[in-house]
Amino acid sequence: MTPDDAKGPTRRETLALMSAGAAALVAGCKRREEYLVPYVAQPEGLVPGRADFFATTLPLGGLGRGVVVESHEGRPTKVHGNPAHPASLGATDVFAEAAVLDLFDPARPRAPEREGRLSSWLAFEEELARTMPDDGVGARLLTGPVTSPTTARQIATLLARRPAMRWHVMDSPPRALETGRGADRRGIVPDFGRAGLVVSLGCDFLGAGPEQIATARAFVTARTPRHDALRLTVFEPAPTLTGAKADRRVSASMADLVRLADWLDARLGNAEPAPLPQRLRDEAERLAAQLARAGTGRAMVLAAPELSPRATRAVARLNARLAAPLAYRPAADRWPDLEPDGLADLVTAMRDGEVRSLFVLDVDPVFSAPAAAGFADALAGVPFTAQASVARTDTAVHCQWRLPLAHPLEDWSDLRGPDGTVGLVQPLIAPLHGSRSRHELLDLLTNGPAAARPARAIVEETWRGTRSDAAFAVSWIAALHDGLVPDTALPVISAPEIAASDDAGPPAESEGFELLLRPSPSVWMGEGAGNAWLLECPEPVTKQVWGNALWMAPADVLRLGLADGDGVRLATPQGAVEVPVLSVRGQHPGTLSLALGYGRAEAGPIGTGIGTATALLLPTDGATLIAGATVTPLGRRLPVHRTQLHFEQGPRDILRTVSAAEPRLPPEPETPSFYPPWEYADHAWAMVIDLDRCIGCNACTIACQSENNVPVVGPEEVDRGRIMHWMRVDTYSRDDGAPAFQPVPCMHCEKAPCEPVCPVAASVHDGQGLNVQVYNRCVGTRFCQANCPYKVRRFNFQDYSGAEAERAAADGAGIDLLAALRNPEVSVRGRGVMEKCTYCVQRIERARHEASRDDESIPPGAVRTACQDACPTEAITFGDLAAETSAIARLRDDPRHYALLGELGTRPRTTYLARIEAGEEDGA
Amino acid sequence: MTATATEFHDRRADEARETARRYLPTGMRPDRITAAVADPVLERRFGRLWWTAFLVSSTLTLVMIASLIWLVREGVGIWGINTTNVWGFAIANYVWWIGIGNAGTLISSMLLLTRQRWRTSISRFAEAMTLFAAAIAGLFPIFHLGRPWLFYWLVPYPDTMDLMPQWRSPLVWDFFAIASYLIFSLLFWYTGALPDLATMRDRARNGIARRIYGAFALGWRGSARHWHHYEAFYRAMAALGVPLVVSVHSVVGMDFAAGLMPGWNESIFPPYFVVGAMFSGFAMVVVLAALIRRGLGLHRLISLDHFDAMARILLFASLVMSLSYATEWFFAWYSGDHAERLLVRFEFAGLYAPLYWTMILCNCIVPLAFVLRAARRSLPVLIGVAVLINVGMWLERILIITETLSRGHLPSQWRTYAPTIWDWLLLLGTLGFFAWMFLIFVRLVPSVSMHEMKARLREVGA
Amino acid sequence: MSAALLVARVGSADDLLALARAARELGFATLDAHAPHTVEGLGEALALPPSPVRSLMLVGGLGAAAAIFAYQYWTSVHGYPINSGGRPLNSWPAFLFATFETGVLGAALAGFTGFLWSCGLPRPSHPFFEAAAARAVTDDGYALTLDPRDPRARIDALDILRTRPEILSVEVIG
Repeated sequence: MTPDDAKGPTRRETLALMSAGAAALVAGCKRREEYLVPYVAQPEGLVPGRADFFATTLPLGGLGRGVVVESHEGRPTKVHGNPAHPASLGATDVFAEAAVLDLFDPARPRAPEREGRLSSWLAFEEELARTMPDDGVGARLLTGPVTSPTTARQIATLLARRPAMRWHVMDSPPRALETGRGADRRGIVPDFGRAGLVVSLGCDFLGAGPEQIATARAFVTARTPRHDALRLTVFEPAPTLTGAKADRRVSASMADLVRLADWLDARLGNAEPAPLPQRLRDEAERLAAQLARAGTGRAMVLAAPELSPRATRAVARLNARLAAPLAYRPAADRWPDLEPDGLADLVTAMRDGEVRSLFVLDVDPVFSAPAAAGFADALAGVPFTAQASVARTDTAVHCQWRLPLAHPLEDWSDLRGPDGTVGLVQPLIAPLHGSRSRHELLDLLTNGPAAARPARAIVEETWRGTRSDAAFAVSWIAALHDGLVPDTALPVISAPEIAASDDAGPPAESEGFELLLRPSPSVWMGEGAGNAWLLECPEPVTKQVWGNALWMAPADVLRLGLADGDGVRLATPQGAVEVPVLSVRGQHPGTLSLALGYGRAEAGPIGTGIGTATALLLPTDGATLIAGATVTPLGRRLPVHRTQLHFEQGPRDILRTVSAAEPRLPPEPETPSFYPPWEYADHAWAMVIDLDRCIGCNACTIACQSENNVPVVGPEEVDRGRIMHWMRVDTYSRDDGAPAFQPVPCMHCEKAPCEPVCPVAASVHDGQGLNVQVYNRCVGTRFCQANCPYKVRRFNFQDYSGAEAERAAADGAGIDLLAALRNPEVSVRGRGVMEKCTYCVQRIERARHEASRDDESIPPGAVRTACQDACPTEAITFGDLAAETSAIARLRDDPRHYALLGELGTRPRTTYLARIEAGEEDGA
Repeated sequence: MTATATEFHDRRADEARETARRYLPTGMRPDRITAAVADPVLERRFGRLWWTAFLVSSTLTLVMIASLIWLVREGVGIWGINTTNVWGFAIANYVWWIGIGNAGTLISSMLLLTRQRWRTSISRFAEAMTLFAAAIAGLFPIFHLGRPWLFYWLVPYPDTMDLMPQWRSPLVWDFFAIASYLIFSLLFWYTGALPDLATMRDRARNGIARRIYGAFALGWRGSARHWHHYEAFYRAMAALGVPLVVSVHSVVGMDFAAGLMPGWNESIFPPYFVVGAMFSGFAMVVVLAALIRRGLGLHRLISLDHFDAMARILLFASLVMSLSYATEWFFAWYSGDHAERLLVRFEFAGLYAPLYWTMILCNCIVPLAFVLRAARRSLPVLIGVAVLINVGMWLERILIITETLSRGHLPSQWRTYAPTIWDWLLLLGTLGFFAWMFLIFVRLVPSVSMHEMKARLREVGA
Repeated sequence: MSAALLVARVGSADDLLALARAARELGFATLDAHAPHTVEGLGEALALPPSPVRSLMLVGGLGAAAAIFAYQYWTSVHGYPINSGGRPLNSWPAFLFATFETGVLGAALAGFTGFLWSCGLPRPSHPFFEAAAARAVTDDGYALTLDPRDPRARIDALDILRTRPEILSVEVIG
């Protein structure tokens, strides 16, 4: 398919047809087994209408996070966390939640293509046999970081089988909790439980990434019994989720952070520190005092991975001096006796004509590698090129062969988590298309088509070892059940060698802006660029969706005479791109931030060309911190789509805070009501959201979207202000420029303002205290939303869910791909109907059915909402107020408890615990 | 005692004569009145002006029909409304039209009951205006629905699920108010026109016209018995009409006041809406009266004194409106509520401030011109001010909706509202449809109540 | 034609009143008057009984209001009791809006049907329409009608014609 062909349907059409377009495909309700099971004889254990749950593992940035996938009649519909997996702990993040949408993406390639024409695996095998020399001379394999033991084993076998073949790995940008470069790279394992003070020098350890769930949980848990048990001081150039949780946040450029690290290193090492600029001096002194007060073994300093090696070493020395409660782990993608070459070597070899055939496995170098490295140009000179990936990629267009890979939910594999724990990947569904497992592909490269084996056998072989079949079968079934191989976490290793202070002086003040590029919290490194849920997942700070923007300090924006949404030409020494500007409070003057992962040229009809690609800006070594960037106004506007436009709450008590010294709100008398209290039948459901635990990661938003069949509306509709998320995360600016987050689902008010105004009784209260919306009865007056002070209701201004198109398609032979993704327990809403958060009433009813089978009432804790399930920090608690011992009843007695806009007398069932803020002295 | 009573009667008689001199075509014999009113309808050819207006309004009517069809096909998503501003033009238009639709009944009922004789000249077409405006107003609440084909769910009908409308909803009150008001106005108007339709029947030379007017005249013979029952019924309807018309716009006010959004939740809304309705309705009557007077040559029946009287009412209503606005601002400040205060600040200095200032200019400042007698008696000034008042009142309605919804309780949900082409086309189309119906009305029905005019003239003995 | 009329046309409303009073004094039982507008005092002159229209409106209005209120009460409290925003089932203040509007509508409808029924309308054909004066009556004509079958009518009519100068013309229909 040429790029022109890719522009077939518009995005709006595609979104409208998201569920109806794939009529040509018979995707079907396949069982998770690799063979079809007709229901003539119903499979054992399968109860139609009841969901099954299977543990598996999903990758992010190469690292595996354990999940449990809910499957309805063989269709995976919802991703849950796997409590047994250390990188999940039962919670999820936006990427894990959105994986099912990737699986059912109608734009996925369905069969191998050669030069843009439909071909077959057989043809590929034949050409491979002809082209690939036996010893692998001139053959290269390019992968991302490999964390799968099976893949590593296969690559080792491949290289042994074809000794002249070479393996290259394309590095990802460093993760927040990583230190060192190349072979020295290792993960940092902070022990928040033992620490009293965490200082972050630009390290966004609570930000999106494969470690977010576990790190955020550990951090919040350490603060739970007493907020002042763990203090967080953050110095950072741009607002991050970590800065948002800081007791004290100071904005500083990355260059400042290097100076600060130097200064602290010298100061705590009793040397004479180099003088700091005026604006940092007081903060540095204050920090030094704070570190001294924290005491030995109680404080840690976490540095941004982008900081120079010099600063990294300074921080390492600092931590050693503080006896910081930190441990280190080897990187999960390093394998003994297996040393990959880098991308640069590959490009050089390709230029030199040494490469005869190149196999690109599941990476997209044309998009994400620095343009300066010249991968795409060099690729043109390689005679035989093949790229295998789940979705269409920018690289695929430049390759001869485009091979469809199985989605992780269709595949067998194994993946190491951030701590090394191996999670097992098992298919929830037979491949929807003519795709193959990456292991089968590697096996094909190694052994040729004749000896090819199924992926399951290949993965099992890795773990069988020397065990007998019987012994293996037992442990294997157990491992598959749990989703992980026990005791595979990597051992903690010693701190890296710390060199003495370098001779190189501190960095000079450079001309121009300092530009920091980090993976997008929505689409990561571009993996989510074709995923509508992720594209429409608001960036936590700016609430931007469907694209990225250049963050600038308000002062800089003013100085350049710009406004939000103005286009600029952003230039680095390597190249320039056009990008819209956003003025961001908390962005340090002189610094710029831009999210990676946007602007893919081949991301399907939905994601193609969304946002600005960054490859042109990157230097050859792929560094994501670039000095000397310049910004020139273009004089025209570029699209910026945002779901929230106002971030100041003024004197309102919306996102309330209490001081750490006295974490209690003044008691408020219950607002009087004219109306007599209402008697509820058996349960009184309620939700409490702890704003102090919320890190603003959006997992709840996407979990809700997945659970409740919440439609995507597209950028045009977002601009019109018609976002559909039932669970939104409101962001309000704090005085220090960092954001504070407030998840807002439906409040399920006891005196709901939406109900009495509905003329047709579509918005009513049920016997268990839920504010329910009867879709069938709704005629769409929208009075309920007009009168809702929280504005949590969502109206189907258009046929967002494609329900009508779907009905039309039902006459055809095809089974709708994206309809298969829907939760069958939740109605799909048509045009002209109001909808909103239901407290996951389908889960309540499921629990009620199960309890009623045993003639019991629903036990406490039996119902968990999707947002609660997903939340990495357990900020959301849901339960029955009528059960006196329930956690929810206790939380409602918490001194931090308050009702949003409680003065309106709505008596909301969703309430909040106030955020705790350190006072001036506490933060010090 | 007797002397005083006589004096009183004399004074009353003097007043009556004075009123008659100013507001009634004294000296006009009944047959001259019939000729003046009925002949333009029956005899005169349709002028070029009428045809041009008819053509333009027909085109706009087609625009309205087309945009309604497109609306039902594509859904309300074609409008500029969004999750925050769930209501936009549709509801503003509804409130504005129903406001205009209140003036006719107010003129007919209130002025009849208070024996304001000058109403006779204008009541017929003012009532027609009421009917047309209320009918157009009724379109909006139906078509603004997400699923307009289900609007009948607001009607209590024998539903298989036993589901009934939700009686606590102001929209149900609205539905009952509008439906009652429409039927009531139609009956009132038709009853008042019945004797005149008989006149038309008897005067028409064309057989078809005679038959059609005859059918609508229901066999009216001008019998004393007819008049006897007519008077009993018509006056009772007038007495009912006053509370009805007040209730209708109070209920419209309740659509907002029953909510708890800042800027809506105000107890002043019902009376303030009623006065606003009278204000815009009278302004529309002024415009239509001027047009009819010229178009049908009714200079003797609709005199400058009539305009003077209406201008005084407009001036009074304008002062009440100004007072209402001031009350809103005062209570926003006095409540101490941040959301309320911020809303008032937003009104004066926010995104829509130019519109708000224009509204104040149109509704509070411009009508002050009517303190001058010369302005009250100058048709160009009258028409100009009346049109501006209607612009101002429309702005008031759209601002009540958008300002509150754009600046609600949670800043995170603040969004502004911008209408799309479809919003404008529907507004324009309904204006055209209104004009279309009115143009047809003046060609078919006597625009001034002949029988009433004759009765009034006899009463004052002129 | 079974019905028949004797139509005496006069020139003004005052003449009509005078003539009607005189006719009644002369003892004509079934008489009617026709005028292009209401003529105050004509009802008394003809001794018309009070109109039942307003009583009908009162009954219709109160009946409709009571019915709709009872209906609202029943559906909200018994038929389909739902919790709507925590309001009591019997939210009677909220029910009063529909009650009032329906009451007015009921009165109007009862009044209109009562008015037509009392007037005997619609009645497209009537002996009166045969009279030459009928067309004038909706313009500027005034007329008194007597029943010519009344044995006294034919005789007395002549007397009237002789004694009442205001009568312009007399026709006998049927």
